[in-house]
Amino acid sequence: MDFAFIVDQGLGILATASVSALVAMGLAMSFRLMGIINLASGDFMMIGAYSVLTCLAIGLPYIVGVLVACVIGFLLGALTERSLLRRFMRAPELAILGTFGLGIVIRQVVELIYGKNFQFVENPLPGSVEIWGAEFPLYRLVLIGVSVVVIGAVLIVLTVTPIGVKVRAVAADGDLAETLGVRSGSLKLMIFAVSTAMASLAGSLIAPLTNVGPGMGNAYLFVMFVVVIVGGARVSMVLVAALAIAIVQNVTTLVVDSLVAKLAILAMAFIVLAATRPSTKGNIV
Amino acid sequence: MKRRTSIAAFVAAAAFVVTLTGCSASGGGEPASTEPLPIGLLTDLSGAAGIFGPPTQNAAELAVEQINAAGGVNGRQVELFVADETGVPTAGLSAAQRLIEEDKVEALFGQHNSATRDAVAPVTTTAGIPYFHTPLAEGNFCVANVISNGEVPAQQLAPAIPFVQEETGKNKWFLLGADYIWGQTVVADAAKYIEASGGEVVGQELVPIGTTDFQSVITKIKESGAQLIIPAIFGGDAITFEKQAFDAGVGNSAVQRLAVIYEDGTLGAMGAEVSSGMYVSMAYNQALDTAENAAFLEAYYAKFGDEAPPQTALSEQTFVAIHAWANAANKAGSTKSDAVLKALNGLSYEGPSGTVTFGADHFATQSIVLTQVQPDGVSVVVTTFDSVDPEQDCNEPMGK
Repeated sequence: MDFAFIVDQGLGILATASVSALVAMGLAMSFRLMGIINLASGDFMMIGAYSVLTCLAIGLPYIVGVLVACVIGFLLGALTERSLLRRFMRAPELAILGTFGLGIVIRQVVELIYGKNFQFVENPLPGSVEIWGAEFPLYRLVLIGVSVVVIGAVLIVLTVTPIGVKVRAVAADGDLAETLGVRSGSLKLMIFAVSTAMASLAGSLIAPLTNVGPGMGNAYLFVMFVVVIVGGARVSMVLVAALAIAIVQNVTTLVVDSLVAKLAILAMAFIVLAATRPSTKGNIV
Repeated sequence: MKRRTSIAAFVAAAAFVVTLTGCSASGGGEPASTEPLPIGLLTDLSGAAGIFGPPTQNAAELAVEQINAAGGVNGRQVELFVADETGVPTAGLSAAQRLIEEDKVEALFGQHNSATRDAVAPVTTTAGIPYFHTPLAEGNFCVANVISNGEVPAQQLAPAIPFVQEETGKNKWFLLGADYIWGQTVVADAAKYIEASGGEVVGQELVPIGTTDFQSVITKIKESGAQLIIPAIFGGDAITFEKQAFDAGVGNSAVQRLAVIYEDGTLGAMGAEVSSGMYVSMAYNQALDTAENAAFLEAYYAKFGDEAPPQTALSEQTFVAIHAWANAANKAGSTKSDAVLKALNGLSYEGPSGTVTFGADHFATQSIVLTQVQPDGVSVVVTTFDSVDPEQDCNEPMGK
């Protein structure tokens, strides 16, 4: 096992982790602030992928497609929060059904417009570059970079800005924050919209690497939820969990095979659940 | 949550199946000869193999049009009913039951994976209709009323492996298969033929259908030192794998492909840069230079326009199966399963891919064409292997 091999594997793990971190971070934030478990996350990813597909089809460059995906994800998230999730405020656990249903509606609408068939987004940056002797796909490198920047930006907003302070306050104790003059309603709206925008961004980033189809999000949803289960509702721990699961998944695939890798991350979720008690109190970051 | 929803889906599917099978009082008596003759096509119009469905449906429509223009079957005009198999056996079974119970089809043609074939075969046996499983598959399937005319690994690999070793001067193979019966059989059979022709298997991997991230598999291939690879993965998965492998420096120029299910639709979606140089061993390719193929393609593009999806081994086999069924049913003067199969035994059909002979083993002896993708993305014929034996040993009688 030489150095180039380790670099190759390490970057591969980072690429896998960065996609799940983008989605899982949004999942964890909306869960902490609103008690909402968003089963439509995978479908927001799918919307991101179709946004890119559509932008490319009308001749816009790939990067515009990614930005459009973020905007559409944000707007649809805001619309969902206002029109659907508000109604589940008193019983957030019922929102599981609400978002599950929303996912079905989104998939069917996309299927009506685009058809059931897989479509393909051409890789905007084909080929690979050499890093410390390892040949690594250029596009995946950009994917890692974009994810790190976005995740970093969200973390900075949460930790140092006035909005971040309010978010943390609502996450720590919503009622108390309200009495101190924090308008939790608009904060929740923003956090949910940001979480769906991140899912949509993740979808737009993986579009050139995979098949774009109405059901594509479901393939990712499983890993995303395991990440949140393992990481708990703290954003920093979710990032660690995304990395840990990517390590387990990629290394197990390499050493054993892909099926065992799926079982391994499931086993990991069970072990973490049994060993720790997931908390929804305390610091969100 | 994931588990709960899948259990709910399972219960719903089970309830659906029960209601359908519960009312299986099929209509009796031979219909009058002027009534239309319904036949069913079960094909992938969505899911990982969704790319195979549209050309298959077109091929079936063309075959039915040609049969009807020539007077139909036993004087009856054939009517085609199409259902989506979706890639999921339970959904495929429901769709097949709808075709049988509601549309009263008198023959079923299935272009779908073999897991669905296993689920669908019993209901066609009960209904007493012939069932043609048309795409390439792993073989070793032996049920009285089922004909598998698709090419099997023995046909695709036995002649092609030594030929490609000879042509490239390479002999270290990696075997990559979809983790279900077909992929597993291709991997096992390939190992056998590689050993027999002096090659060496340096690595193998089975991946679940629907895999989206092939990074670790690609690393495995890189580390194995393989010079050649047989990728037995299909549709969307194949496209994902090849695009990711190309970017990681494990494209065809580094590790030569001998593909068994990369038809022109799949290759087209990969793009010429990725697919250039790949060998494909299947029963049919549009590039075949025969009079039958020229006539077939002319009729196809005249009916569906120049933008129609390319015809491939997967779709052309459905065309062959429907024509062969019509010939056998005309010969037998009946559409009953036993009569059709008896007439089909030993029958040859001159199709676009050459001579296809239906054997007593429920499979077909046929020619295999080895093609290679050119830098512009167009496939050209490298060589053809004529009348390749499917090497099957099914002893069910062909009709009683």
